[in-house]
Amino acid sequence: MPRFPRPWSKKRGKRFASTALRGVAGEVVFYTGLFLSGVFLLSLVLINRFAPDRVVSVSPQALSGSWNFWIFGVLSLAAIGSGVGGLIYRLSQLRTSSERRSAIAGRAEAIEIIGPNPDRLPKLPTVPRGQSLTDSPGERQTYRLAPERPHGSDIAGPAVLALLWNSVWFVLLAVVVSGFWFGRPRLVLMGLLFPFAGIGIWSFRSFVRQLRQTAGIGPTIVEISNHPLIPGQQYRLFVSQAGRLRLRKVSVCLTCEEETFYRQGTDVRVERHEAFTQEILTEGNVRVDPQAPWEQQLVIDLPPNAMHSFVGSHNAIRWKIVVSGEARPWPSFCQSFPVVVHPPGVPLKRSPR
Amino acid sequence: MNVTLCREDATYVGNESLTAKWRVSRVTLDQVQAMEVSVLWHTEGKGDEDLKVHHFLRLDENQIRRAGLIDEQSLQCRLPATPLSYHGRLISVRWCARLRLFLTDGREVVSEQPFHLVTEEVAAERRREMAENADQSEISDDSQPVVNEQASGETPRKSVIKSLLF
Repeated sequence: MPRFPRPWSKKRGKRFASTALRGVAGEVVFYTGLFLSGVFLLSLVLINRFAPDRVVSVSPQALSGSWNFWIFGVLSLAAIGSGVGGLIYRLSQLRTSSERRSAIAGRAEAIEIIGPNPDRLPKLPTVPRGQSLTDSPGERQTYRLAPERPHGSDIAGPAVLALLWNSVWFVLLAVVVSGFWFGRPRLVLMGLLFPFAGIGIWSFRSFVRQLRQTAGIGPTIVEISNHPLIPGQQYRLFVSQAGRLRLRKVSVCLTCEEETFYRQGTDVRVERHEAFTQEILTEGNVRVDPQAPWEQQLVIDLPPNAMHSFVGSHNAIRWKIVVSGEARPWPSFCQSFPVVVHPPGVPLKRSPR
Repeated sequence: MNVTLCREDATYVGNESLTAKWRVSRVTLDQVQAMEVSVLWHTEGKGDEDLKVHHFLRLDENQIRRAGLIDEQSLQCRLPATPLSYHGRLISVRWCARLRLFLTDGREVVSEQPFHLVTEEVAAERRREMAENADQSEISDDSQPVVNEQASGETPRKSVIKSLLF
């Protein structure tokens, strides 16, 4: 019995339930439709602008007003451009292997617009250069590592939320008060002010809690003797934690994390897995004062068979030094400092610092 | 289709030269539209695939006629220093020499020969292990005339041939 062709497709694991041809046909129809709609709309706009007498059905003001002309003109041109671009892109992928597409992209990347690389060092494809990581000189060691998230960046979200929400609440309060003032009370809006006030109080308390945490847990500083790292070599590390807090436990680890991005339906999801963890230090009952920050001089031994740092479009292998602590009365904190690991046997260019 | 590498252990060090030979049989010249040979790395695992071609050669119909299908062809390229082969839980980085044949009826036939790109230490260790295994197999061959194939889960030997219907 012949099966009725379904207009949609479904992905089952790594394979599709229908042929790729159906997807291509759908995209081609969509982009063709978009292009033709754009042509139709542009024709209407141009006719109404330059020959309105010959059009009977459409009112001359509908599309040929000053603003309407530009809005519909830009929309139609955007539709034509998207349609043509999409069609060219999709049709260029027909009968073209992924290797050929990658080779074409590689040739485009190889064009040096500014000129050849003055370093004359061998290129390490997919290994991040990490130049920004060694921008800052250290006080105790050669480089001060940059944290993944700068100290105090967590407070920006709660601060913006509290400020915006409470501003809106006060605007609504002014509208309600003015309604009573002019004898036209807005009761529904007044009723909404109470739950809105609750959300405003919650957002403000969240902001204050985050502010106290940021002020209490001071900045974490990590300095390293050399960078980038090479497997099998030893590095000196300086770690400092400032603030005013008591820590139940503080630990310093070197970790290697696999990070992968994948599409699930229309969502892009991220999954991480710690492939390697080396505990460098664990210490209990630590007291930190503003005058006496917690400071440690440590040593890292990078395993000789460690994988180098790797960054692709959808996959990455990242190395980092993680400082975490269980604090009182503040919640636990965790600060990561990315480092770059190069493969052994490759000449390096160190930062002059 | 058959792709073979210049090293039996399929293990290469970064910046080293690789030579791959390929041969196409049981297909007539009239059936072939184009052929692509590439040396590339790609990722496998949970995430979307990353793929990067390091060396690419495309032969169209006329070039294939000049080269001939029956004769063994070869390609040579210098491998980059990275990315090294890796096998993790979420991500694997795999290197391979891939031969893709475009047939006139719309079909594509793919043959792959995987290999490892490793550091000098790992390559030396593998070669030492292979030499030891070879010595042991020689001793066992003398005592027991039984064919004992080594489990080659890590060492890629056979070409993987896939047929894709477009």
